[in-house]
Amino acid sequence: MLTIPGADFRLCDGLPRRSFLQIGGLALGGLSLPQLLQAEESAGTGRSHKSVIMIFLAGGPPHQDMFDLKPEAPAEYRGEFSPIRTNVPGIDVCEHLPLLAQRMDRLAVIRTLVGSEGQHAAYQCLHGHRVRNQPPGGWPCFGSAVSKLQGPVNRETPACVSLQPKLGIPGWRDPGQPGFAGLAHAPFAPNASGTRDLVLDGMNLQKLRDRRALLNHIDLLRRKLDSSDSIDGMETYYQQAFDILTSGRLASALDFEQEDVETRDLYGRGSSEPAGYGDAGWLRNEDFLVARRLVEAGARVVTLSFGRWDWHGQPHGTNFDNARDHLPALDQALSALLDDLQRRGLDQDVSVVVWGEFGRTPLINNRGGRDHWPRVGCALLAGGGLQTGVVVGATNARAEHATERPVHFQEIFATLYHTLGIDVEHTTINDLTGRPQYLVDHTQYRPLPELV
Amino acid sequence: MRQPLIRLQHPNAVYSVAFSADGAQLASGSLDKTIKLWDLPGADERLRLRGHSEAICSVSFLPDGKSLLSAGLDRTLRIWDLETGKLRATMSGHQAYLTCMARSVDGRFAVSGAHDKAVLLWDLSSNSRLATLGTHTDLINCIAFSPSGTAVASAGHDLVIRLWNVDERSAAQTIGPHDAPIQSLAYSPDGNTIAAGDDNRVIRLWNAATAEMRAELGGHAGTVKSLCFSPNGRWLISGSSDTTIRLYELPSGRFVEALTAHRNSVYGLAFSPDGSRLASAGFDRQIYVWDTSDLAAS
Repeated sequence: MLTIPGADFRLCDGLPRRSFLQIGGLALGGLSLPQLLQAEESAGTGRSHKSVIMIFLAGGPPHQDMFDLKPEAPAEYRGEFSPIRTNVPGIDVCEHLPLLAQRMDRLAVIRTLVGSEGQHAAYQCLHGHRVRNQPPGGWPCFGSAVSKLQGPVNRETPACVSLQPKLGIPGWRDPGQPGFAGLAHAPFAPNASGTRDLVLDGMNLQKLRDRRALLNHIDLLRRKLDSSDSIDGMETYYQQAFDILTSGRLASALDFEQEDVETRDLYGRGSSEPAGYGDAGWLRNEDFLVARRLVEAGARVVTLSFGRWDWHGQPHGTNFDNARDHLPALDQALSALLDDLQRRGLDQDVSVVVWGEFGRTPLINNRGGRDHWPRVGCALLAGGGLQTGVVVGATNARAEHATERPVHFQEIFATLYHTLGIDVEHTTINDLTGRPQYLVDHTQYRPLPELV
Repeated sequence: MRQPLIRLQHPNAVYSVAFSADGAQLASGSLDKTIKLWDLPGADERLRLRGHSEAICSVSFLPDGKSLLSAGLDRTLRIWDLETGKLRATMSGHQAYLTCMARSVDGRFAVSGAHDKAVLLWDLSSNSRLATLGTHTDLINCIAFSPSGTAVASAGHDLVIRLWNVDERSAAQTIGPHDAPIQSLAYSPDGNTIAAGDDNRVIRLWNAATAEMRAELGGHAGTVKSLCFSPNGRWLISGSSDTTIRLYELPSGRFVEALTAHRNSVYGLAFSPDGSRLASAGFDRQIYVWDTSDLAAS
């Protein structure tokens, strides 16, 4: 990892922080030289590209306390929250999502997400497949598949970027695996530590913006690396690292401090501390802003993890304590992202999906919590030219199971691929045996006709 | 409307607050696994104590003025040196999440309750477990030491308040039941009344000697998570999952005022020894210090 110290700043808790860039691992997400050249040919300056921002709510968000409230259910099912109207008649959401309620016309709510493997992991949300019975090489995550199929938009920005921090249990901090797409298409994960820290001596953000100074430092680093035999595989990615660093485009995209204060305030100021009782990632609103900056810089897929939604109850706060903590943060950050994308004319080109690995038990347990419920969950979609202001699916009176239009994980993926111009019915990637693998089970799952 | 004097923060939910004997310091324990020590009135963070491996459920200054007692979900009680910030002792004995702790006024003993349903008595001079006072039949959520130091009250999911005789190390009597799990307990300063708050959103005031219910106070729209009496015994303060703090005048039980600043459940309440300040701890990561000098003077 390349660590570049930055300026001191303060987060909302008033404590000083030192900002820094971590260009992680030098596994930079798929920029081999032939692909660089190909990307240069195919990418024109000023041409917009399609992209996806995926927001993973680690732990299983409670569908019945967010987007599928059941005010008529018995108290031990309905919980503490009341529904509020949105700007789409007939669609209600939780009272703690008032900003999203005013933007429901730009959202599609999936109330019947089914097919969860039930694993406490980001895997299914990132890859669209179950962990079990993987083909040789393993399934590539969505971003890696897109990187393989479409390559980068420009030579300076990896096609897929994961903002997942290296915090919490392995299943939740998974940035997505390249699988049989190949290591060259692994998500670039700046917030996860690489195999080794490399400190560019004397370098800071200010100097990073000074290309001449940067070139001098890179040259010194190159000489140091050339004389070292302890770093394997460096040469493979050296050119990519050089291009990315010297252009400054990626560094700039990752540096949310460059955004004006007013915009940063709209997104809200989050925390880099682990959310909940410490086994998950952070609740960092700034990641939504960074995701926007990254798609502007050319990323095709950006994934981020937001908070800890595995709320089993006391003594770590009830489901409702935690919801009162997390929902306003999601409400603010996601609303700001939707507004920001629209303001910049990106909303038709950028799709957004918000989801977790499963829903939560309809019956509240004796500790004020809800447990895992793979039978049904929820998801939000926005942008990308999709039909919005709609609800897809319905559950029964206690939000226990789908009664109308169950939506499988792979239908969501088929829809996301569709927004990127990828036809899941005819597109394959070869696994390590050379067998062509479809991105989803196209015999069963297609892009959601309700949305495309 | 009464506004907070001071706002302090943790990076995560705050479960407990306590004032030092001179009221010049405040301690707070959090889900972030740390304890913060604040100098008042300036609200400067003086120390951050790290060592618990889980959330802190309770903090209390010891009478020597130089030590702090904490209890955590990691099943331990710990004693900290406030001059050096170093951990001086760790006591363990529970088999599941330790959820509540209280100490005797003289600082000789502490008691704790846990999800293992056991009530343990600790000797703070030898930093050791003295005895198991007894067990509940379900999870324990709250515990309180009588002002005299001779009795302990504990309560939780089995809906009753169990009183324990400290000297005899045995069960004394059972008070209740409530209609829903009990989440908070407090002894009045004269030791005659036990206040208990539950998931049914009510507070019941019980005669500690006769086990009769004196009054039932309603008004909260959510679980009563925290309770404390003012040092002069004239006021009962409650904190709730409805995010408010309610002030009740005693002995009438008349509701007088609601304090609104928290945006999430109020898990901890504490008065300064002179009653002029009230500190509240919330799941919203905030600690507020309120001016209650009018209550102290009443």
